[in-house]
Amino acid sequence: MKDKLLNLCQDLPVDYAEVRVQESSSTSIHYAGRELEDIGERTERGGCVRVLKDGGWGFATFNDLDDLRKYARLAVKQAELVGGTKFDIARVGPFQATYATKVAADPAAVSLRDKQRMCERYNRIILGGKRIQTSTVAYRDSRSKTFYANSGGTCIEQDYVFCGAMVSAIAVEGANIQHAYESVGDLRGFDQVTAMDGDCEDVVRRAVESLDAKPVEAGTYTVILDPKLCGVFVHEAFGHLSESDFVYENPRLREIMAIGRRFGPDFLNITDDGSLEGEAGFIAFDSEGVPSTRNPLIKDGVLTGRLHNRETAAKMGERVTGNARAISYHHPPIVRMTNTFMEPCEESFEQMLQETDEGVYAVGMLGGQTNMEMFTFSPEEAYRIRSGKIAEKLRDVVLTGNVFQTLQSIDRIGSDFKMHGGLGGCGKGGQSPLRVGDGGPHCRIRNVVIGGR
Amino acid sequence: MKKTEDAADPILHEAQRRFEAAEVYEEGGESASVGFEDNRLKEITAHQFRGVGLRVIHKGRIGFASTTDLRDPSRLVEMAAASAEFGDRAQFQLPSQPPQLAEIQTYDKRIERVTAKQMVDMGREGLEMSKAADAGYLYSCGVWRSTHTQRIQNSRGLDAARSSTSMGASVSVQEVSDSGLLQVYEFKDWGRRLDSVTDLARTVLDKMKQAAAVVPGRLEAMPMVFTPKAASILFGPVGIALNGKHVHKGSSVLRGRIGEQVLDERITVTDDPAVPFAPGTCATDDEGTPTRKQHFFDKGVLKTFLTDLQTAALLKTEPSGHGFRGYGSRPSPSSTNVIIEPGDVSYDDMVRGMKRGLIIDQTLGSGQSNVLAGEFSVNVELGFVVEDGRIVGRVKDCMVAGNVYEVLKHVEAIGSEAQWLGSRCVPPIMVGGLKLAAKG
Repeated sequence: MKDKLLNLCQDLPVDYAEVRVQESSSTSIHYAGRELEDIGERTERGGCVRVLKDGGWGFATFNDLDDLRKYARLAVKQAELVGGTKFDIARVGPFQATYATKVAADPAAVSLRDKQRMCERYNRIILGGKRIQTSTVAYRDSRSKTFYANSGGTCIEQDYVFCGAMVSAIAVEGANIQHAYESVGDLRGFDQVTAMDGDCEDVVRRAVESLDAKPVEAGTYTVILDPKLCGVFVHEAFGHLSESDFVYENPRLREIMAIGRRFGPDFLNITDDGSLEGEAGFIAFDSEGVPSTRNPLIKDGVLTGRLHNRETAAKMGERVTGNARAISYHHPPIVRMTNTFMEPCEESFEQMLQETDEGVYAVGMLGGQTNMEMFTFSPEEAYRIRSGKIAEKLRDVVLTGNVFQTLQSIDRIGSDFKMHGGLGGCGKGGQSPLRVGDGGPHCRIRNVVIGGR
Repeated sequence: MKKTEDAADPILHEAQRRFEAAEVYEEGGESASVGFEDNRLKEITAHQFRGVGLRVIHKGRIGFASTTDLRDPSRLVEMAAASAEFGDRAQFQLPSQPPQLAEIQTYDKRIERVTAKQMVDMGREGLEMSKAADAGYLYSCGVWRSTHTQRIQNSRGLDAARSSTSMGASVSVQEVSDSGLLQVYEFKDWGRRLDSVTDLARTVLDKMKQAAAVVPGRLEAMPMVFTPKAASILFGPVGIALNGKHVHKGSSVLRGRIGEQVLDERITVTDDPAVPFAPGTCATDDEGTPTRKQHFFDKGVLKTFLTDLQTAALLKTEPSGHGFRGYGSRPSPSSTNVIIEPGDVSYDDMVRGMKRGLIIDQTLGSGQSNVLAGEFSVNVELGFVVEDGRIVGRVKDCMVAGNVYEVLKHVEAIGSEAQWLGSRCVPPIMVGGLKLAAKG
């Protein structure tokens, strides 16, 4: 296989060529209430060719692997049609490597019956909860093997094993419907999902408590984020802006995103690190055959780096970072985050809370979105803070911020730290979900707008 | 190719031999797209796919498996058998071949002949308009075309094949300044050949002008107009509550409310599977159940839920013809083309009639709230402030939150100009009682 792919890339009349062939299989289990709506295995096999010629990119993806050359010729034809000004991309390598996820417990070695029994056990705990109407228990593991080769002579085989689960409870009282969930997912193997009984009890408690929670009042608040939400905040508030495909051909944004510009207080440090083995966003090599690295994005409050693919790195005169990622053979690689986190400081959560007279404590993660200027992020649950203490529970809390202002409003960073992956992931350019890790400590932000009644 | 051409036959043959019932869903397609980014043609892509999903009933239980690797059909059959060991009891019977189906239009042969060069030229025309409007604008555009085929065969003799085409485009323009970043986008997708992106580009460029000034937002309640683009904030959660699965599990707020006045009596929502060339048009759903035009809400009164075969059986109703899927998943309830009946107020009159109000066109963060309960809380990504009937600029860093059932129970007005966005046709809707949240 390797030689075939390498020869194909090196034979094409282009400036650069790469090919990926992926074989994957996944097992899913999905309980919705009492129904086992899905259980079983799916397999995929497909490939893609991507070429650069005279400044234009051509890309072809296919399941029909019998005639790779046909699709390679199509990609070349497309690149020729794009044309434009010839440019070079960052040349690193060639690399010859084989990577395989090392897990203590390989999900492939666990029988479907054992996986089903585990999910059934979780489902029973949730459905046994008082005032609980229905549940969701989802389990997924996947093994994906990707062969990669490029015209520079790089040839890599990567084998990843992802495993995760999600449990959720829905409590209902008349028209009042409340939902709570917990999810785990990363490259650490089956052991991660076997002890979620406590999480099941927790989502029951949280869903039921939310029935009696009050909707938040619209306004501007001081907000303390827990580590999980801090991770999402970092991802939305800054991570996406550091993806240089938004920046490299945008002259004004390049000025604004100049290395050395201050984005936050001098105790703020934000990093993206694809080399953290086991974390959800770990990659040995990215989808352009570049090894992953640790990339400081903000150091002491100042912009110090950004995330690149081969093209953006060359065009901005910076080093490659290993952040060109594609969710599958269906898509070309684009600049993405891996594991993105705020680094911890000194303050304890208790101290931070004590020093907060009025505010909101936001916990866990429901989601987030950004348009590079403004962003939203929402917690799983939230509480009012009054006189330095956690007070009544709130619901329907969604927070918003401004990429260029909100990081400046961080005034406390905690000493704890947590990374989180999960069954979901990040979406960009029609590619979703991409497995990523987000993390951070507790942190406090001033003047955060929350929508409400 | 020739080997996989009739991939379904040996799979169905073997599955039929081993199980009480079997259904093979085979899907394939080809598409091409061109992409402009930041005023430059960046890439051209081609996409070919083909996949098969196998659903079986074995000892009364449902099993499912799927693959794009068609080299070994018996592996797929084994996977489905393993799944059926644990699957739920099948409460339904697979349908037999339906009698004569309605004639529908989903295939425009002209789309097969659209070349990448023609799509590039369309994108370029928009680029020239953007440059002419303001040399500082950054224009991005995607143009795509696709052909899609599917075939459902089952052990009761059903064999339904269909094909469809689609062509679409998106245009977005961005302006970066010291104070921030403005981005406006428009898109469309339809079953017929698209000849130009100029109308999308014109709308985007008009909105860029209207958004040039930033008006400070403040905490206040005011009337708000949701444009067709933003109306998914209001109708998305309703679509989830109409899903028969949520109704069956008791997690839909609409459960047990058929016949009840749920929405404003001016709101009629129809599912119409026969609109020529609309994205959701089909004669049968993906299980072979014939589709039909039906009301979800007739003058605000709840009429029906969305069901596939299994969900209908669990709810003890007739299947509504809404079992849709891709090759890699089991059928699940989903709508065809959703049409919200337009009202009698023109959009211009709606805006002219506002003393002080907000037009919401783009939002961030939808779906991050309690959608089951109908809650929404979104950042107003693109919202125009209206004063004395005139747009005076846009707001930034503001949120709007509410409950869609409260909002749609009493609307102020429904616009007369409906617009297709994907498989949904929506007019502008004006509502009262919502609060804008902003700093200060």
